[in-house]
Amino acid sequence: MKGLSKKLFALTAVVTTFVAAAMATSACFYFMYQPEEPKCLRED
Amino acid sequence: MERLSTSISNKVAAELKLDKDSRDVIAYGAFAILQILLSTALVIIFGYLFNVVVEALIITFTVSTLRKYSGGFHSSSPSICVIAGTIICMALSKTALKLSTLANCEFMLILGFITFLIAYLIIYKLAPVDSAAKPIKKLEKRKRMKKDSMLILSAYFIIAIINIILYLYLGYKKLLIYSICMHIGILWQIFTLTNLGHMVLRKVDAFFIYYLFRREDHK
Repeated sequence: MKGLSKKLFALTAVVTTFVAAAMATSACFYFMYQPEEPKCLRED
Repeated sequence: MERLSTSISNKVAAELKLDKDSRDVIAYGAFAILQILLSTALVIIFGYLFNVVVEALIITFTVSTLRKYSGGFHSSSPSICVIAGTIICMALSKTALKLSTLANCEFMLILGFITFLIAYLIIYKLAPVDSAAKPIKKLEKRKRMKKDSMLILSAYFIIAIINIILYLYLGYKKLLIYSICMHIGILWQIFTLTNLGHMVLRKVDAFFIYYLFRREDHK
């Protein structure tokens, strides 16, 4: 059970990191709100 | 939404023993997923209630795809974004349906000419319009985003032409209605890039701040 939840956490980490990286290449989010981008994702 | 994404990232980071940077990235990604899911769900629910599901989804995807590269006005909170975004989307869908009574080839050609002329000019002049939360400082990146915005707009242009050709062959009027939705989505997104758009949307934002948060202050 613990191994399964660890895998679930790892999957969450992978999916959210992938989405965050995809969003980093854009000018803004999907709708009209843009949260502050993490420093490590900034290109400047 | 922000609280939920922070709590997800804290839990994942604690379980996997990740550093602060990774936790921030997870929170950012989780927030993006939650916002996309919630916004799309609301558009579908209200679209269903107003009988404009397909129209509302076409407008949403047209706006958000172009917005990804061209940027535009941003509201001051995620709640305002979701509420105002849904209301605007419903209003635009209803407008598209009203315009659909005029839909024929001549109308589509005129609407297409006006839409794409304005859109190409404004994107060429203004895109990408960045925000304080995500400034785009690198000239190279700005150029790339302008180019990507132009490419997306050109893809919309091709879709609009294909729609007219298909309509001529099949006589299926829904194609023109979907095309009108796409044009309205483009015009709206272009509007959010302009100074006038920023001025109007800042007022809308202020109205929601007053209406939503004033009530919270009294609790």
